[in-house]
Amino acid sequence: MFKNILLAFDGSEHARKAAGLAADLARQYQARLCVVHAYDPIPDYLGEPFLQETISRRTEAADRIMEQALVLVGEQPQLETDVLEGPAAEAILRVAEVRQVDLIVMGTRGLGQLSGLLLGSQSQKVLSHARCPVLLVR
Amino acid sequence: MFRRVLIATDFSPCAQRALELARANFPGAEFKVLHVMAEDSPFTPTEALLELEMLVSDAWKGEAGLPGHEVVQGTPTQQVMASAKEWGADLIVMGVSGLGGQGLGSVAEGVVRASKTPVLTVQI
Repeated sequence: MFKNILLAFDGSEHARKAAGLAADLARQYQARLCVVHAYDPIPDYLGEPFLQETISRRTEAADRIMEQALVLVGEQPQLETDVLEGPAAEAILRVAEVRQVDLIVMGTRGLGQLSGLLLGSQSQKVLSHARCPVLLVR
Repeated sequence: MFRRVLIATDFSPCAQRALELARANFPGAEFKVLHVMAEDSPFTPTEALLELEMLVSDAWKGEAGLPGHEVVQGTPTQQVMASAKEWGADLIVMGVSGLGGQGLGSVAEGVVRASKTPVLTVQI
């Protein structure tokens, strides 16, 4: 049985559905649920004061997205959150590894600039490299 | 949670893991095991069905009823989705890579891209 579930959340419609499903699974299995959100990497060529400003803007936006996720997953036996700097796939895979999760739940397509693609490049990367089962939700 | 789980198998070790994982994690669900014979299949339809029957009776050994199982011919990606839709599956479970090898296989990628039903991909 799944004991340690990771939900990758970017605020997109697919991710919202994934959140509902991950929440139900975690409750059913009495599993630990870890919500991961990765914000876009901040280019390091930005000089001051732009760098600080960009960092706080990105992390504030990330916190708001995490709040949405927490509303969607509701009451959970064990809940944890991780907000990381992207790229998303790397962040998700890293958390999956560190926390030894046994299931990753994510949307098929994310927000991002390439959200029109049928399968997001980040989802594709997670699918190819994850060491545990991946549940994709549209 | 999931009530109708479609397990797609190409008889690869990865698909076998997917089947075991589905059985372990969704004990209350109704299962259907599907094998799609592509054009380049090494089996005749009868052989494929026999193989599938052996696989299913092995996995569900000692249990009262065997789950539904079916061999269909066609393009694997399309047939998996058509079968999921027709049967009313609320989850598709499959191996992430096929007989071909490692990483994200073309069938899994195709199903994940197009399926409106959630897809659980499993690796070895």
